[in-house]
Amino acid sequence: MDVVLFDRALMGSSLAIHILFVVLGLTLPLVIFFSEIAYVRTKNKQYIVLARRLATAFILFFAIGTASGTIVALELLFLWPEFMALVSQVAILPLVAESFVFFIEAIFLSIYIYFRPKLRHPYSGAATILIVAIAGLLTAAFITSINAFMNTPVGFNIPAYLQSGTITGVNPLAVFSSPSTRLEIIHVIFTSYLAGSLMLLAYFAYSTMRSRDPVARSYYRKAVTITFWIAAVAVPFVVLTGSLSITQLYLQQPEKYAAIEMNLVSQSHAPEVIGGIYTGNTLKDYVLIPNMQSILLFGSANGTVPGLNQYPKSTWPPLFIHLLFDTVVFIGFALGFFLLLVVLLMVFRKAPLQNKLVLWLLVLCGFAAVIALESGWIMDEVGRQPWIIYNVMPVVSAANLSPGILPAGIAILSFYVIVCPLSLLLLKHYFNKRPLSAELRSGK
Amino acid sequence: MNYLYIQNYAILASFLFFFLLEVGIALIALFDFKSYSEKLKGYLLALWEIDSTFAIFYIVNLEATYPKALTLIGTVYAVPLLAAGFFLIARNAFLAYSELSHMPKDEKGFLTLYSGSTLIIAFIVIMTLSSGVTGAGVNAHTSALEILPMFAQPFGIIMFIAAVLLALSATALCFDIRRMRNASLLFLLLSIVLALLGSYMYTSILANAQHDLYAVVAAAIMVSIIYASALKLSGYVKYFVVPFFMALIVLFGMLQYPYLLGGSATYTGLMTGTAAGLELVLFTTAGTIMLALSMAILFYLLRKR
Repeated sequence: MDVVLFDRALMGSSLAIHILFVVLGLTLPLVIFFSEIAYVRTKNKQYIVLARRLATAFILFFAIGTASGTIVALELLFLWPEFMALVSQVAILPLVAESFVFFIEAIFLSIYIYFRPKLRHPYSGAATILIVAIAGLLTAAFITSINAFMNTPVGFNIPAYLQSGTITGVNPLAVFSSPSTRLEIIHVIFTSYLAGSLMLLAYFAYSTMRSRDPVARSYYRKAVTITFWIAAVAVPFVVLTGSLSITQLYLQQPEKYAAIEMNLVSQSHAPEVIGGIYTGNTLKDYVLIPNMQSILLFGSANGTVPGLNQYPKSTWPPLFIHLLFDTVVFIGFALGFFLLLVVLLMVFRKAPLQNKLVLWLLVLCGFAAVIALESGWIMDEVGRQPWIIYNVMPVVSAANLSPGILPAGIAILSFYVIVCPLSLLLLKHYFNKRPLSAELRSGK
Repeated sequence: MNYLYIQNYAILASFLFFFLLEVGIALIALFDFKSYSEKLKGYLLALWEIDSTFAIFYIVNLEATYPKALTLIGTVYAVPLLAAGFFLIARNAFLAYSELSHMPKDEKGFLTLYSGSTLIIAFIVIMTLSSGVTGAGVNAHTSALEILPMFAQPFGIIMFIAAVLLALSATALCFDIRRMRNASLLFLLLSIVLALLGSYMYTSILANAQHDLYAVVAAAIMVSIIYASALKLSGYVKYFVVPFFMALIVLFGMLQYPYLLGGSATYTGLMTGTAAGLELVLFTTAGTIMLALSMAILFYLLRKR
């Protein structure tokens, strides 16, 4: 197997798994926070049971997430040593800041888990988990700023580096304000909240339908309501920042833009291409919406969109990312409309969250959110190919070409395959041994 | 001595100290489950969290401090450290599973697996650090690593045994395990003797060994004396233990300065430029203050419990 391809596959698989823990790690403290607040306000013990059970799940996700995060940090070093050598000299400060914030997240999570029952002030539980939530959010922001640097590199003399390979004119703070940093951070955070809350919502919606005990059903409904509102608040931000990101892509990474829109040629009155497979220099199986792309991008059909024909074929990203883009857009809008519909039904007092069809659709939303999350991430990363740092460092130059990493990498991948299902199985076993009904009755 | 080197080594010493305690707890959980259940169980998760995050903190600081070493480290030590990563996932998963277990038998089983994984990680980490000092198994010119010579190096093996003894001693003291109180002094002394023996054997490749060995001997004697007197002040022992064990780790680290890989490379040659260095120190200082405050709250609460 090609070693560069293996490096990419290993890094990609590790991140694909790590991302799931990250979104849950970001969302769970938020759900626990709202449960804590609801408990203080209503004194309904179901909320505190919800907070405690979610905190138990959070420990497990945090443990595996910490390990997978360390693996990702090691893989960055071992699979892409040249890339890290550059990042370390130019853009390391977000990683340094992230390590501290992560520390604070871990410490306050410990405090919440161990000392929650002993904290006397009614809001101290909420305050502690809020610190965890904020630290998690900052962690995501700092890591995303590294990704933004990869898309729009700043902070050093790039022409001099391309000419001589030496790094000069370093401004280590510039990484916090690269052209794509702000928008990318906001998009990633709201996407994570949306995906995380929908994953949890799917579980709670399913449990509501399965539950025969009215007390347990009332408990699950509360969980459905909290996670639903997090998703409903996040979705407009996701759609808005997603749309703005496309415009930004057109300005900053036109090849990537052309690839995700499947623009083979630069043209005005550009149609929106839906579907399509590019084989043998031709595009097959697609639908066109005339003028739509130019209108969406420029507000007028006369606007000229960039096409792949403007760039050498060696710098084209793999064109399957167009299908991923279609998937993300379709799921994003479908989720947006569905959640909006549910909110409207709530406004007209129809209690949609008790409707079985709505609950089933919410379960479906959980799966759709995972597909959209992973597709969006793959689209962003693969769309930057052949660059690891756009227009600065090709993936091939950054990679570790030693075949010695193959066995260790395969071992890590195979272990993930065992650990993830085993963790969920054990969590299920744990909750089976501590039946919800008993906890709800005792309130402890 | 370069301030970035000191900062990076202080972080490594802190990580190694906390990791040492975790290794000690893992060993006690393996061989003296009763003491573990009575004294250590309540602390393990908090310590593990601090330790895991310190590992990430150290990796990031290493990347920031020695960017020019990354290609070398990334190529040479990829296999052993990715293997350590494999056991890291195992260790975290097994610890979480043991926390979720209801049956004492399951808990003990998962904890045994956690302890085994932790010891393997400790072995890989110490052998890698030792190889970084001696250059055992490393061909710096071709960036190649021979696994067997790296793991069979006497210096690393002696240091591993010394670290295990030090771990037991530090854990017994920090967590006041009375059953191990007298043995802990023996463990500490043996650990110091072994570490000195290892350093003496490799005097030729430890750049400053002749000079700094005296400092290490002085520190070791000082630690032993204070340790022995502190034994009589049982409640306060732990307050002496932390800084002295860290000082001991730092002193052994200083032995190799300014060379790495048995003299093939130097610390300063692999270091970041001063432009990024200043910001790095400022960020690290600000972060350390926040960290110290958070840890103070955690340990205050743990102590009250």
